Amino acid sequence: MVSNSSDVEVLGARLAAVLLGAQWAAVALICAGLALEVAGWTKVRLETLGVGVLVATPFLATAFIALTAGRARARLAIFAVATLALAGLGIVLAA
Amino acid sequence: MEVLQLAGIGVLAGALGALLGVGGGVILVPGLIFLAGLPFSSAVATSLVCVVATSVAGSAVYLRRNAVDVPVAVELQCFTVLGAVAAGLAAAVVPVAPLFLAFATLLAVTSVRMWPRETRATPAVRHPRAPTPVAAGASVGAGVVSGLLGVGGGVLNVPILHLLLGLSFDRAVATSILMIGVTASAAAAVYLVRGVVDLPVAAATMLGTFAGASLAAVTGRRVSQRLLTMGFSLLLLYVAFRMVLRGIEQL
Repeated sequence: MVSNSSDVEVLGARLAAVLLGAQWAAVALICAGLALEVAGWTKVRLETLGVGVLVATPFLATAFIALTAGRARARLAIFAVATLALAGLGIVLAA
Repeated sequence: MEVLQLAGIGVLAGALGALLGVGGGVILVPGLIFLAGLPFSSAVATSLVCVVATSVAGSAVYLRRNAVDVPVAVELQCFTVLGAVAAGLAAAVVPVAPLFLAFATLLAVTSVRMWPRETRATPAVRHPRAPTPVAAGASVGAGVVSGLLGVGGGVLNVPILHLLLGLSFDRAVATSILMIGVTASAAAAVYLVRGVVDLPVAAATMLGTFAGASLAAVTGRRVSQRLLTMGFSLLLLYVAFRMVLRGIEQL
């Protein structure tokens, strides 16, 4: 069991930055997309891209953990990769 | 579908979710079915996208406060994702009537759990333990509930983290919020690939969820938590009753 120590705190802070960045990117895309749609310009569907960015955000965060956990947190990295693999398998099976 | 109507449902779900510490799913799914007229599967898929939004926004705050047990979240979310993916795939063949009845049961359980109590007995907090087979199995169950019913699964995650793994209640809530994002995201991706998600509908509702959660963060302290919780519990029971009726109609 890995207890919360300084490197996990640093990981958490970086994870928060990743989540916030992706969140605001998604919100900006959705706002722009809905504004274009209300204006009647429906050729560009930015809001669908925004939803895609948002749904991908937790995967991005998990990939970030897998990449940055390193040898000291090998168990963490393994579980993060397993999570991504399961989600990927689900997408492949659904397609 | 009117963008403002969908955003309004999202605002309600985001605000109540943030004020009461529940995922938006228990509000969004019935709201999208009864107020916006969406079919059950579309409501579930849209709700999952909004649960991701709630989780991302909430997790960022909790992670900054160092309130999340990241290792425990990562280890358990592997199992919740397994359940959510299986449920997302199975949802294509599961009849709607039992899902309505299962959702009604979830609402009733959430309502009873939320009803304000004078004192709440909590077990002594232990040092967090590594996920046990029981916790892993229960997490798969939480994922199935999330994937089939469009909720975050926090109603199951928090007891698993608090009672089985010994995290303090506050830490369990914060850790659960990170977990539900990954769980809902996996299920939402399956629904997206299956073509069940109406993306413009999801976008408008999600934007409302963000706005509602932000509004609640500003005005939350002015609202009586006890009255709000009691009113919300009664509302959930009423919605559960409507869900049972709709489920019976579908039989």
